[in-house]
Formats: sequence, structure tokens, C-alpha cells
Amino acid sequence: MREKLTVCDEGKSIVLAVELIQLGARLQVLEGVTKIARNKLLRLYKETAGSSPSKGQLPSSTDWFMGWRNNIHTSLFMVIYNKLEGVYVHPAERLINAFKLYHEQVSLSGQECELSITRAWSATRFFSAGLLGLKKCKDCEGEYVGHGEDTLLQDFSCPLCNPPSRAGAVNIKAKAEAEIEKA
Amino acid sequence: MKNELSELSEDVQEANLTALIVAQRVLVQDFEVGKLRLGVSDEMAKVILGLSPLQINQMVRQSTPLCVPRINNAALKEALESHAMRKGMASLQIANTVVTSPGKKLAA
Repeated sequence: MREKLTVCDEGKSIVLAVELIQLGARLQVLEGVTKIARNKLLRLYKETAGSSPSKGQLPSSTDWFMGWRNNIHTSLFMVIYNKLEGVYVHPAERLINAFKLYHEQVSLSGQECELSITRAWSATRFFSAGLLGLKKCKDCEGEYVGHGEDTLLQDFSCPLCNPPSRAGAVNIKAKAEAEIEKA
Repeated sequence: MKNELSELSEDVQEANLTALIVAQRVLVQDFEVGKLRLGVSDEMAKVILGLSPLQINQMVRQSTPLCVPRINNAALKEALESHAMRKGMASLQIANTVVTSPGKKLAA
């Protein structure tokens, strides 16, 4: 049973939900960070995105976050997200601002964003559940995502200081298929 | 020699002025995000935001830069020499290290 929202709170939540939809958030994200009723969210989604939200569950595994490039991107998002702890009253504001800052930095780096807002939100949930955590790199002093139980490791070298041998290698077959699709 | 020095000194003063004005703009746009961008504490952010044009004018008249890199030598060296540089990811690595580093506070 969702608690009843005041008109002001609901107004603010709707504005934030619209922003999340525009950033590409799935319905589960909206349900997770706002207290708006599901039927209202569905209508809001259709009005904002012009289509029904995608169906199906979100991935429940942390494996995606362990891929080399995915890990680097998620780590940057999570360090920003952690720095914004306690700053905003509404959890959606923290998510939106951290994601925007991550997006801005990645764009400035000339890279493509690996992390969608839905993935970003999933990462925050895995962190809250203790399934993922941040580990400090002994060389560059950056913080990188690891499995919850690994985060106490003292002698950790991040995926950028000590990358695996095929790090960053693009799957040639997948790239060719993508190019054919584009053409 | 004298001209070169005074030109350099003018450039440093200009950089100092730009740094303070940009810092104030960043904080005016969004105070909380601005603190994160600048890497400063709440108290320090309020001081920067409260600087008057006269105070800024006095502060920037220095022959040395007011701003210094936010990450320490070892971490910066590691990022620039690491595999990240070769993979085109150094900028993300530096961003991670900069955000992780503790914010600057006013001395007690």
C-alpha cells in the first residue's frame, strides 16, 4: 500500500518522473523512485514517451557491471552518486543529477555512454543490497565497482591500471553486423 | 626578460580571475552539484559564492595561480601513463579519481 501523497509532493514527483522518462527510464525505475500510483505512471509514460513502456523484468544479475568497459562507466556514475548522498530530499533528484553529470563527463571524453538510466538505477539497488560495492585502487586512488565481498581487498588494482589482455577489444562480428544494420 | 615575466604574471592573474568567476557561476547554477564539480566543502563554497567584486579583484592579483590540480602526483602520473591513456579512457579515469578525492575545506 503506497502512502498518500500531498498535492505538492505529487506535483514534484510528476515533474521528476517526466524527466526520468525523457532520460529513457523504464517503468520499474519510476515505481522505485517515486510514490506515484502505477496506473498514473503508465498514463504519464504514454503521454511523455508517446508509446507504452517496454514490458519484461529488469536483469537481476550483477554480471553486466563486471564487464571491463561497463565497470569503468558504472564506477564513474557510482562515485558521483555517492558524492550526492544526503543532498537531495527526493531520491529521483539524486539519480537524475548523478546521471546527468556522468553523461556530461562521458560526452566530454568523446566516449559513448554505456550506462542507461535504468542500468544506473539497478546499480544503486545492487549497492543498497550489498551485492556491489566500491573498491579503492592502490595505484590511481579511483574507486571501482566490485562484488560486495571483494570490496575489503587491500591490494586492488583497477581495470584501467591493470586491464585484462583483451580489454576494449571490439567484437568484430558484432561490429560488422551493426554496420550492416546501419546501412 | 622583464616583459616576459610581466606578461606571464598578467596571464596568471587572468587565469585566477577566470577561475573565481567560473567557480561562482558553477555554484549559482546549482549549489550542490557545484560543490561536487569544484571539489569544495559547503563552507568553502559559501565563501567563494560570497566574494564581492572588490574581494575578487584583490584575490586575483597574484603572481602565482590560486588553483592547483585536485589529484596528487602519483594518481595523476598513474592515469596518464596507464593503459587507460592508450585505450582512450584516461579522461574517465581522471574524472573518477577527481570525484573520489576529498573536497577542500577551510582550515580551522
